[in-house]
Amino acid sequence: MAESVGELPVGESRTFHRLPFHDFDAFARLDADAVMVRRLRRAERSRRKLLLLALMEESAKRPELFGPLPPLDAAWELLARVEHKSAKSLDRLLAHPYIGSWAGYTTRLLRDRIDGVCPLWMHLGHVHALAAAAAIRSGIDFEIEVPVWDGHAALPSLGIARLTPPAVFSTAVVRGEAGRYTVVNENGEVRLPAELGEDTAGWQAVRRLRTRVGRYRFSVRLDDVDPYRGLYEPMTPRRLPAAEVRQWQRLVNEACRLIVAYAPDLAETMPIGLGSLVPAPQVRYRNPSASTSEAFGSALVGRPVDGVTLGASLVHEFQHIVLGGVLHLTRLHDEDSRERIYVPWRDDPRPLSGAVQGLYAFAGVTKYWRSLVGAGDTAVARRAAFEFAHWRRQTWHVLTALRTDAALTDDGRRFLDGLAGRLGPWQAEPVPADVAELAAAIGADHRAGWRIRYLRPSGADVATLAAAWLAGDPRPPVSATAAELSPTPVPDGSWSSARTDLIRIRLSEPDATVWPAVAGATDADVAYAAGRHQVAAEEYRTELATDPDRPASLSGLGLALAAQGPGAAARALLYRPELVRAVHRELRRRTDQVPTAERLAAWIGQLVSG
Amino acid sequence: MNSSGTEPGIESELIDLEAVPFTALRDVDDDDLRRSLRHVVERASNVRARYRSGNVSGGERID
Repeated sequence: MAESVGELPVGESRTFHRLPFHDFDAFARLDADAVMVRRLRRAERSRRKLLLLALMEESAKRPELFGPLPPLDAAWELLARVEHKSAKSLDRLLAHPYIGSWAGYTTRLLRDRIDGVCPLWMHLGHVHALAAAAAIRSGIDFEIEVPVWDGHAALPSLGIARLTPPAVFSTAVVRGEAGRYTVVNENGEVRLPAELGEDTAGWQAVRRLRTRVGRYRFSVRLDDVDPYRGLYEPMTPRRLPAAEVRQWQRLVNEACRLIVAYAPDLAETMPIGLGSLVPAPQVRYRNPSASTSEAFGSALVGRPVDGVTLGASLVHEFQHIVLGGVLHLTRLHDEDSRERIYVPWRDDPRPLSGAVQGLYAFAGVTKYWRSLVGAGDTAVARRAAFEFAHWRRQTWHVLTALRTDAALTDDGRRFLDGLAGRLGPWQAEPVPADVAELAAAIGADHRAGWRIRYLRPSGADVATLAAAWLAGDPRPPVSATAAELSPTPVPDGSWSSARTDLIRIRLSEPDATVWPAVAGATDADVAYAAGRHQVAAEEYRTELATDPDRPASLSGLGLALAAQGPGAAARALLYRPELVRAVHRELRRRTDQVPTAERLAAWIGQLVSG
Repeated sequence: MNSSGTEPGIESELIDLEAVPFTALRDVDDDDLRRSLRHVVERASNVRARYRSGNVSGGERID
């Protein structure tokens, strides 16, 4: 083995990141502390150093890959000068989330020798921009050429300089001298402000939202300019208007106040693992958010309506980020991309990896809502009780299904066992009865809707049942109702989440007489959400008379019937709706004497347990 | 999570470079470093949009 040059430990002192079971189990139990999350972040920096090294070594073999930019040596030399002056300047920059997403994205382009959203030289050349940003952070004098995309010269973690470009893809020179910085191309010059966090003509800084709650000081980037801030591919800046930034500030203030008051452990850990938000448009009645393991520390978040909701989104993405960090150190399951698992947070079957990720994210969300159950604000407390009741039950169902999955590794089983130790005792905690009923209803609604759309009973079973019905058998044959089914990849029928939206609205406004418009909501849905279950059942019957296959009408009728008391029809419509619809279709094909779906469900439901 | 601990745990394939200046790696020829480098590049190469959502109702996650 060759002796290393530089400071890499050699021989027996060489070290690898380890994850002590003490930490691993704490992550599984949702009990991780700040030190543990900091260790994940530290491992992430090592990972990025390796990726960056691989990128630079591979691209150095082909100088022509850098197009009009200077050879890679320029970046190497500048980075070396930065580290000589201040190693921390580069280390901090390497912790910037979008250095990770850039490195991953460009690694894949370089492997395939293909262009991305921009030509390959633009993406590779981002290393020059990284060097420039590091040089600015360290305060040295320098000059380096960087890529410019549609007039935007990005300096990662700092901001973008806006120039009039000669072409969509071009270059500019970044220069630093005695603490003054300029970005220059053939059409003009941008002078960076002394305070780099401020906007000036031609300079859009990465904004920071700061708030202080008691002894806690929070600071999170609101990054709408970094080209690598997206999930899949680079994108140009989308500057938020100042008014929206103020709204984000208000939301962050509110979320931080709640977290400090009711979930102080998160106040310690979350800022370490989630330091950048990419703002996304608001979607009414939805709280879209997203993240990627390549951008440890960042999440895309659609602007929510209040801080309570933002808190839930932050916790959700923080959980993903933490698990992503753990998965960089160990494997919880074998590779299995089959989309085969039901999860209540998505309307399609998921692969094991996605199910585990979602489970961990929503387990954290469950813990968050549980902590808010005791909030002084009664509306918040009631909402929290509902969400806690819903998510504890749904995560438990998924966890129960996953724990015996053959694709889990030993570490995976240990991790899920640890999570079960946390979620299990929560199942029996008291919540108000009406809230628990509503939570159970939206869970049953989702599961029924998913089954109708993704499960296909065998043709033989359907034929047997149809024949038995036509023969006037008083009970369906047991053998035809017992099959375990695997989901199909293509859904049969449309999805509607309107009923769930309406229930959440009712929960926040129990005395509302005017219902806001919810996309896809029918009169039957409104009646159900308002608690007028007989009316709702009639309305769903009317819907089914027009379209007997509509998934939301079948499960809606099941819910409306179940709310009036237990019965065979409700059981079949909620627990085996795919069978009811398939047999009903078969009967429509075979005869003109077609029963209602409800009557058929009552017959099938004799053998269905709830 | 570093290798200094002796308690039971998981040994990763990720070499600890916390104390190593990035630019010092340019001249390093080391088997462990190369193996770890190949590991992260391979993992990064396999990242794909597996969890892309067809709607806007929920979260997305890419690993």
